Amino acid sequence: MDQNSQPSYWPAVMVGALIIGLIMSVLGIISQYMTINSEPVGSSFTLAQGIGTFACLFGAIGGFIATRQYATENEITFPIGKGALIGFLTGVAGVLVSTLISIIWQYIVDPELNQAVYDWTIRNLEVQNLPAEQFEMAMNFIPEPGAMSSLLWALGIGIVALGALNLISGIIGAKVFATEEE
Amino acid sequence: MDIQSKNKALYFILTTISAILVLIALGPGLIETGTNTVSWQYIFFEKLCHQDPERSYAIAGKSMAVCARCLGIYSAFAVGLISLPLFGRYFQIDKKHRIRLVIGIITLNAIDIFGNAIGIWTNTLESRLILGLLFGLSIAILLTDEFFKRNIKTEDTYGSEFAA
Repeated sequence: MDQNSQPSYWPAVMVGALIIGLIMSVLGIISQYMTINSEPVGSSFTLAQGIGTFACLFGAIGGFIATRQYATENEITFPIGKGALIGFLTGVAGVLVSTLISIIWQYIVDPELNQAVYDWTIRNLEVQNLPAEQFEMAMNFIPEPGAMSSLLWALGIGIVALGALNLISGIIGAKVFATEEE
Repeated sequence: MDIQSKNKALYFILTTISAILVLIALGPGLIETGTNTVSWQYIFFEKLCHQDPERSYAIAGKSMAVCARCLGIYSAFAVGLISLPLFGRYFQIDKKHRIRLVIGIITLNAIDIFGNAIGIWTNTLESRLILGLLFGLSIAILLTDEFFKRNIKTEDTYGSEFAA
């Protein structure tokens, strides 16, 4: 099929973004509740964090899912550059979907969750008995709950990190599902 | 032996992104920022890796932003990409064999994680790093012919440069 007459990749991007966005949000929210219901022991690693990580490792393969969807649904081949674009867009859209769900959850369903996570993080830092200077430095990296800056910070980091990782997984997906041996 | 390159812009972008990911993955010990538990490098990777300090290497006493396995994946992928011109010059492996290689190494990693989780064996920082390295390298190798390909002279093309 001519590259210019190929079908739109947006449905595949939206499918990939919805899948990773939903899973990242649901497991992320579960992980937050597990965190606030545990006792802070000063560790930087918790089981809840492990669950959150699983969610986002899944988020990193969104590009792979979207390129597979695009190639198999339309029975087409396309270059890996297009796979990179599809992967990047899937990562960005996935972060937007996930952020939207988080906003709905944190501002409408359970407005106290953000504050509880923030308080837990502070108590976890206090247990570490850091010197005052290091404690202050650490506080600079912990966003204030409910602040627009914290939302934009999370959105920005998410777009850069998951955009880059999904760009790579989109290239891999295109290589596996959409290119032919020359 | 001649080598043909293609998708140059994408290769440059991908290699640059991979190198930046490795630099961030090395954590706050490399570029003095944050504490041992909070820094922008940790925040960058917090949704991509468990960052358990006991399963991570450290620089200057500060844990890296990713675990040993992830460090292996990111660094081998970046080094693999940089080495692709050499790899493409001397090796040519069928796509299906390269896909099998990736699947095999993913399976190996899964067996290692599962075996460790149910207590059959205890994996170490080094074993996790090595398996991660193999995974990252296999992904880079999978992409070889998308960026570099050996020109094999056939009867049709052999000597054509002299004819012209």
